[in-house]
Amino acid sequence: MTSGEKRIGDGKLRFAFGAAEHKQDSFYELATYIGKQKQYYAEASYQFPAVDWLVTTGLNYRYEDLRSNGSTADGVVVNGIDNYVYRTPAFFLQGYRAFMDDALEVNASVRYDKHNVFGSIASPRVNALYHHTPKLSSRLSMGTGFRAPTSFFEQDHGILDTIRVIRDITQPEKSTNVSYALSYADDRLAVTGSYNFNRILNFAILDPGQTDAAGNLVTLFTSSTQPVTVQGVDINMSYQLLPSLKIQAAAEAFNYKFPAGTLVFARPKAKGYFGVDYDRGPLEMTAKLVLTGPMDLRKFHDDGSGSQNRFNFDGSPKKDKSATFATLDLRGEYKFNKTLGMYAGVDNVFDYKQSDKESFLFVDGQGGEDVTHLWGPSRGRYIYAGLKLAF
Amino acid sequence: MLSQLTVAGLFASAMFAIGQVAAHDGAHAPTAAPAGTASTGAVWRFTLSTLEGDRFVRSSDVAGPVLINFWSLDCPPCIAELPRLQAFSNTNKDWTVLLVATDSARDAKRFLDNRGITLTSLRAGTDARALLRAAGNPSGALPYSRAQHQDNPCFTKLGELSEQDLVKISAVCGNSVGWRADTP
Repeated sequence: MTSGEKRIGDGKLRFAFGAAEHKQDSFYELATYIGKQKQYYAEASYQFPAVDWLVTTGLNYRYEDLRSNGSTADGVVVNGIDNYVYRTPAFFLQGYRAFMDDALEVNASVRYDKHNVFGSIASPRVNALYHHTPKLSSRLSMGTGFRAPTSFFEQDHGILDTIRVIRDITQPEKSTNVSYALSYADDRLAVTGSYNFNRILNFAILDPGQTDAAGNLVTLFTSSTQPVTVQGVDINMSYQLLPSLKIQAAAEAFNYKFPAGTLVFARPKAKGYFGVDYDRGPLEMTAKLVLTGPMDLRKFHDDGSGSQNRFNFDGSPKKDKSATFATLDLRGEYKFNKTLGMYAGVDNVFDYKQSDKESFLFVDGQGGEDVTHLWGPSRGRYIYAGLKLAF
Repeated sequence: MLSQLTVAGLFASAMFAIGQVAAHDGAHAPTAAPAGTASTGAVWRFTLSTLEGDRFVRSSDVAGPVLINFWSLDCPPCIAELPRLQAFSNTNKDWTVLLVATDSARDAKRFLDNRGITLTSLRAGTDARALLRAAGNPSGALPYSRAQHQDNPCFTKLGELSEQDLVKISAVCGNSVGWRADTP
């Protein structure tokens, strides 16, 4: 990636170019996958003052090209079943202005993308920051965005184990986001409370369990007909208790609304955090406690029937709700001099492991086995130490 | 979705109203004085910990005039003016010169130690941008300097301090005979 700037008049002209090539050579159990991807990016923009606004406008172009070949677990050779070429030219316009003696700052933007597969997409966004006082501010952000999905990025294990991908996807994923935050910050205390709303339309789904007319197992690449919506509220607090000691606390709660099969891994409804940071002279120490609330496993793992249909190897059903648990991480670092320092720490001091409460292995309703019944830490207490050299 | 966003909108409106009520004096952010001017802006009191973390430095602890300079490692004019500030402090013993680092304490301290800067250096508290606003710099740009006496500002500047600026600061705010331009 390279970029350059040049002043022209009152404004600034900027160019950026990027190129990347990725090569993948993988196997999972008996399936193999070799992929090569090229990505190119170019952008030209001009930023200039216009009356009381600071305006930025520009063009960019993005190119992605994936080619792959491999073989299924049965040894069937497959070539190019997830190949794609994406070409996306775009135009963008952004304006920034401060009002009311800099008490209100507004940043508005719009970009227009012309995707070779998904067509024209407009993505507006506006951000406003209002300072009630020098220490108290409100921030509001609203906008939309999109993602052009590919079967490559949706696949299990990072490789395909299928003879064919049926593409039934004509729309990109589109997101609508709204967030509001009220923040207070003085020399020693900072508190922020926020609300966030995210809704995704056309959520991409890769279903490897479909069959074609001949009864062969194929993969269906399609979009969800119902939106995925996540709402969250959170509060964060940080306080400088002593010159060298800071304490932090936070809490967050979420509400998820989604059709079965779209969000594969469970997420908690609520989490809490508490941390202590000590930093004086050559010594630094941190402690962080994370409290994870229960997860609605039946809702997240619903196979479309209204239940998880997941069972332990002894035939007993998996729990519908996970346990509440806490993890504690500790770390310390000491600098002997400018060059040499040492560090040591313990992660998951309480040695909490999900496998002590419920195995991550399961058997589904069709008798298939998998290892993805995950809701808690997979690694127990972990102790580490080392030296740091700085030159 | 409409009802969810309506609820969200009502919540945000309520929070915004709380913010307005909390700002009971109705004051907006103080306007930064034009560069290099004597200022009669808002009073600013501070309590900030040193980079070493060994004590708090409060504005009320400083008896005489104080020059506070906000700087950052990735700000070339901030770096350029540090030796001038050190020389000003060495010559004007009745002045207290404080540096406020907007980077991590460890990185800032390492940099200052390597450059031989011995001025009292402070951390920027919980929110550097909010601190700059409170100090009379609503844009948050750097470098920014503020001279004050008993919490009342007498000079502010957004931009690199020159030798002439330091002479002006001494004349406008201080009790000393001023800083000589030929001091390195």
